[in-house]
Amino acid sequence: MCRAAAPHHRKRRRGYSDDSDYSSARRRISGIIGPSNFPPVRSFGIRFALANAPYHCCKRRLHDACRPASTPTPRRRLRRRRGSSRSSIISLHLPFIRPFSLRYFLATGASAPRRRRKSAAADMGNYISCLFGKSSSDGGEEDDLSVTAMVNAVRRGTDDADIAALEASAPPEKRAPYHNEVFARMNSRHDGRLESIATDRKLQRLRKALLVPADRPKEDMSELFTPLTNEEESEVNSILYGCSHSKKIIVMHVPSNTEITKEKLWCLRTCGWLNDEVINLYLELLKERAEREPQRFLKCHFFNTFFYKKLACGKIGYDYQSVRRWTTLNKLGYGLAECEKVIFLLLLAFLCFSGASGIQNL
Amino acid sequence: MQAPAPAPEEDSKAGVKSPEFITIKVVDQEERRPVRHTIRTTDKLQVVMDRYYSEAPEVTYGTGSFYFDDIRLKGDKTPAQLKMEDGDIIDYFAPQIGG
Repeated sequence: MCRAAAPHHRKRRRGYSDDSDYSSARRRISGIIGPSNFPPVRSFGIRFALANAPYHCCKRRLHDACRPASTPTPRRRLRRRRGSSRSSIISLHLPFIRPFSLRYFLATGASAPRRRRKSAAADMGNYISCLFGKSSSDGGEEDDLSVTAMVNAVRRGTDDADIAALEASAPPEKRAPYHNEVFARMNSRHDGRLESIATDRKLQRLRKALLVPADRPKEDMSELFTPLTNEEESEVNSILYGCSHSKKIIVMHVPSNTEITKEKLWCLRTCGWLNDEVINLYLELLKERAEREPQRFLKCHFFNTFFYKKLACGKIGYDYQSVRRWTTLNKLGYGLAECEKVIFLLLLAFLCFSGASGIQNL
Repeated sequence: MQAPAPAPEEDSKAGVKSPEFITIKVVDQEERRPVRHTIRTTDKLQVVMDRYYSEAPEVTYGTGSFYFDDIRLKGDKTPAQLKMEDGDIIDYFAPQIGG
């Protein structure tokens, strides 16, 4: 059907400039698709007959005179001349429509009736394509000759009431695509999750607000870090950047038995690597400060930098026994559980100088 | 530190030696080379440190730190001051550089 419709499309697009060519195309198409019991009469042929032009008969006689005798049958010509009954009009064969009558038809009222036919054909085309399981895009084309022919055939065979019922009945409802349904379902699920997450976050914020009072006073940090005076600054500069007497002991911290030489303090220069003695001494100083002012500072215990190495990085891995005596009550004077904070340092990346000859060469 | 060991036990351990002698073991972190040294409880610990430096040729003299539990040792201290017992272990830690 579609193959038959294709050449017709081309013809129609080109227009009715060549009438004889068009009529021959019609004949060919009707020969291809028209069943033998359905005379392939287009509805504008019928309309032409209904229009019933007064000069029809004489014109026809003229045409008959110049026509080759083989094509029409004399019986049909007689019937046509009488022009009385509708059935005879319907069985009118195409060759009778001469180019002139086509031109007449186009000139008089082709647009209005054609538009009506178009809509009907489109509806029926949809219906038929639905029946055949086709989509409406290829079956519902207005200029599809095959569909129009079928519509004509159906119209001829059925009553007006049937046609009305056929047109009134809606085409079967199209199901929504499955992927749309899945997409909607997934969306709704995600929405649920998002809602639960939002609720959780709101709850967390509420808890935080309850736990931490908003009007917490800000600590005055200026007392903790008193600025150095000019003399102290110059002393620090001379220790850090002076190059003489590197072995000179600057300070001896008696409780921890730590001697700090100039050389060891050089690790506090810009971009220098820290060493364990400086850090351990600072931890000792923090410990002393906390003992000095227990009301102001938290009770802390500071492990030195070797604690974790001794505990977890030994030859046998985790070894509690090796550090068991580090925090006994007799040694510390307080239990570790009494401390508010227990601080130990992890040395994650270190360079272990065997013999530490590198430090001496600094 | 635990309570000091009772006197008779100490005597039995150091049966041959004099009662004031104790044996101290010095280990480094890798426990490659435990150095045992027997000193009097009244001797300075510098002797033990020197012994360790001499036993470990790759360790430069005077570097690193010796810890008895979490107490950093100094050469002029004696085992008696630190309440050391026979068989106690001194840890040697190589200097840690990092930051």
